[in-house]
Amino acid sequence: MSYDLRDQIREVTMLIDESQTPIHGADIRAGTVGFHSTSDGVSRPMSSAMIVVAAFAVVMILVGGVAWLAPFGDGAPSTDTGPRVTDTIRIGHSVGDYLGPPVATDGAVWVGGGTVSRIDSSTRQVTDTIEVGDYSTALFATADAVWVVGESVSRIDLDTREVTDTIQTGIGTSRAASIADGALWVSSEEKGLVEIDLATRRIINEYQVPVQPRKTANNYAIIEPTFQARWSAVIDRAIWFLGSGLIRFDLEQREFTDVLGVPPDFDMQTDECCIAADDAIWLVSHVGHVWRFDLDTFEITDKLELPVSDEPGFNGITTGISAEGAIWIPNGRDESVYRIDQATRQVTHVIPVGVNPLRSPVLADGAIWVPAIGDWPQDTGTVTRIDINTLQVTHTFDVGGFPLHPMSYDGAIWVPTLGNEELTRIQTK
Amino acid sequence: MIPEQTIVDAFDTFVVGCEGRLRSALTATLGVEVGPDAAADALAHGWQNWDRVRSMDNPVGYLYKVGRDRGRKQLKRRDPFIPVVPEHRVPWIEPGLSPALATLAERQRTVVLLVHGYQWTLTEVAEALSVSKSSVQTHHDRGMKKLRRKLGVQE
Repeated sequence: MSYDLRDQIREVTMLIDESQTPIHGADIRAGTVGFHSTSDGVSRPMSSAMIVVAAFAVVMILVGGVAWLAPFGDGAPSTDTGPRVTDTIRIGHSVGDYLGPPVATDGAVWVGGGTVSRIDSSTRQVTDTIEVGDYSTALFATADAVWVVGESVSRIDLDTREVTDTIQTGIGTSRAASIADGALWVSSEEKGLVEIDLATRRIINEYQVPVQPRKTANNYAIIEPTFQARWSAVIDRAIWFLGSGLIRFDLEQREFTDVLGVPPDFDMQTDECCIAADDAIWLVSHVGHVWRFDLDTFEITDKLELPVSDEPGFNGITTGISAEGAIWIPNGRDESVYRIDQATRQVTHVIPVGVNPLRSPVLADGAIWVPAIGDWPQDTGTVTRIDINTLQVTHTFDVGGFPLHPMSYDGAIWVPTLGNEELTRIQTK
Repeated sequence: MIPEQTIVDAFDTFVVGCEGRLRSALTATLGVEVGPDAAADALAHGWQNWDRVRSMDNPVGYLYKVGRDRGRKQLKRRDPFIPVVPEHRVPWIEPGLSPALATLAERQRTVVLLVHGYQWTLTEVAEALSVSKSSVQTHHDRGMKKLRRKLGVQE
């Protein structure tokens, strides 16, 4: 079939325009449009736009679930030995698009997204699906609860498997959160850094990022000191964030100590572009620049250039991990994982993996496990196993869909797949 | 102290300049039911916090996030409504386009509708969404690829 898809999209928006009326400042100020209250349930008048839209309802399509229902496997355990796919578990809800890895605690794997699901690690069945009210962007597991970060923070009790607390963390709550010192640290554009005590389940402090940078790495300037955090990690008694620069919060002093500029050609808008190592933070630009930021000197000490494609699409670099003395970075351009030795700070190996590796690998049981989305949206996602000793690919598993971040737990790799909304379990040995 | 009328005039001028862009972006993100109200909510928030908002480098980007966060609560777990183009509007209708748009990931749909529907440049989209142009390009490519696949349309 051949027609100009862009023209038809244009037609759709022209139709939308005809159904809407402009909003005037006077109406906003008078309170005749916009919210009057969103917290006490006070109703608001129907806007003219809503009235027109209601008329359109008779011709609208109520879109149901995504038809990504092509089954993969039959879910039956394999009788083979060695690394293998043992289960493909239908989650039944969207596993999200920007979601971090699943978490595991108390004999179960937890997957977020539109809702949160608990999968028993032994029976490999979904035992609970729990509404949290938000789209979750990150999950954290503690001994007695799973904490769900979305537009707010929710606590799911492991015993009752119910939401016991919902904590408002402000507009612009980010998935860049960490657990340290008995607290969940959540970044929010509105409230800054929010400290939630895990025991009392209350916000006990809010910290605002300094307006002016206190240092600038290599004299790189901070253009706009804001706290739109996209990444965070706990390293050596400090929480590091990537906002408009690298931002350090000292856990001893309980204050922001450093706001550091990053190279101007570092695409810090990408959600996943930093790798935490013991002595450094590696900044990874999707266009192939990789910098090493030294945590002793707070300076950029090294810059590497990885090959990338000029073609738009999936051909860039997203992120990687630090493991076994090396940095491992998937590169969509040549469908490989680049191994950078942390001592020599040089690329030592380029290891071919699946098509379009776009998410972080994971280290487990002597291997690096690399997800790749294949020729998305065709159902060709894979996970590749790289032996850590031989640096050779030993297995490639078809998992289908768009594999997101894998997670290691209970002798297996657990991989959520977007599109078919499944969780694939790969036995590691 | 700034006279009250000056503040009012400044806000009204701001609304005239940005309201259309904000409403288009939020409609692309949240659909025709929720998007316009989310834009009104965001502008009301802007008025309530005008002292802070007017000094921002990218107030539209900020208000977009405010509206998006509020609108998502209304959307919950259903897809946004995208109207179907009536048959008389174009010589040949792709009936699956609106449903396909509704099932795109939020950012993909937003970028695809803003770029091809509202004819925004990558720079304009990047500024409104507070992301880089390369991120916009990536979301666009993924969205169009997914649309073509779902609709069986060739390049």
